[in-house]
Amino acid sequence: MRVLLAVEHPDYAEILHRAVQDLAYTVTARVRQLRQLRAVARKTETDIMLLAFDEIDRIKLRHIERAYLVQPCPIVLFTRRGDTEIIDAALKAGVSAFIVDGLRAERIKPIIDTAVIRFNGVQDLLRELEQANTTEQERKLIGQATGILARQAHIPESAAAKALRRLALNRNKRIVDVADCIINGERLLAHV
Amino acid sequence: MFGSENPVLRLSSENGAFLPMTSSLTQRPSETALRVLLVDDDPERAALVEQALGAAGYVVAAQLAPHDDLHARVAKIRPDVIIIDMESPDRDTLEHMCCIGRELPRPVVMFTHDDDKEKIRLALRAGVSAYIVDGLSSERIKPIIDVAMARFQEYQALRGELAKATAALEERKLIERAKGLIMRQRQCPEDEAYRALRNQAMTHNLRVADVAKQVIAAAELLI
Repeated sequence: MRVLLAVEHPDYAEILHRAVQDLAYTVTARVRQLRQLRAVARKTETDIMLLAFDEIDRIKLRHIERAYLVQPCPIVLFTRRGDTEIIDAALKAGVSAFIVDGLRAERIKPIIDTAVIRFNGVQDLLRELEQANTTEQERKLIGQATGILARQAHIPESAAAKALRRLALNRNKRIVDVADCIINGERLLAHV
Repeated sequence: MFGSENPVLRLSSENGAFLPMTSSLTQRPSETALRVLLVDDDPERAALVEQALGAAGYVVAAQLAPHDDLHARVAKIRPDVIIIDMESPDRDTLEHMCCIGRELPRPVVMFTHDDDKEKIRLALRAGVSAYIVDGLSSERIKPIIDVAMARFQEYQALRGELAKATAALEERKLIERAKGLIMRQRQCPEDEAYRALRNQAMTHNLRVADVAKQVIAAAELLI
């Protein structure tokens, strides 16, 4: 596992660095300030980011979010305090684990494991959601195109749907692209 | 600074040793205090956790042993958050969690000594919002519960969205099918078929998808 460290205090950086090495993970980079994180994250392939900062505020969270967007991976954040508001904001910024006063070498492994499992779980859910949403939109187009085809060719909708599928297969295109083509085509032809 | 130097209350089921409470957290539970269902197999430890929760401003609505009927108790008590404190989450408890997650979703914080990756995976899949290994100290309870609740809400929102998208997809399929049937029966264009569905829905104060369902059911009988 490749780990990117962003730690304010050299002492904690050392604790974390050693703990990570003891787990036989690789520290790919170390930064001391969150505003450096994005640039480093962009050019460093990493599986997880471990961050430790005494205080977390909106500006720090913005840096974290910007880093997350260029390198989406689980983020573990150790800090000294956090109220409900900042915790909410941190989770929205992409933090997988928000840990108050819990930086101890022996706890790092389960914390990393939990963060990775949770991150993957959420990613799966997001992918599923995207799939459901895309399919829904695509289905709308396909349904619309099937309707046009059925009407123009005077065939039942079930036959039109099959024709659409066949068309896509023959032209080696995605069915939704063919549907799109039919809808646009009809729109243009209707005005001729 | 971080970590192990100053926890007010450190709990360890290995040696049963507790440091005394000298808490600076002396909030009194208010009327809006969050209600906790505490699950702990060790009554002595449970009493200390309860004290720590009280000091952090929570109310322990009930305290159970892991093998009590969790599901029934959650249904009755309707706590804001469930805290489970056990050596290692066993299969029964995780099954209870799954069941509760489906029917009465609640944020669940689990304190354990088991850092096995597979256990963590199972616990998270069972709906545990925070899985904390060796981390039960009175000072940390509040931020841990805060994180668990925020995460729970985020997760529920995502699940809700997914359920909505999936349901919309299913409805769309039904409507398309019903439209196709109407088009074939009436030899009418698609927009007219859809209008027929929608008018029927409006007249009977139903949703278009419900009318579509009726059309499909009727078609199965009639055609």
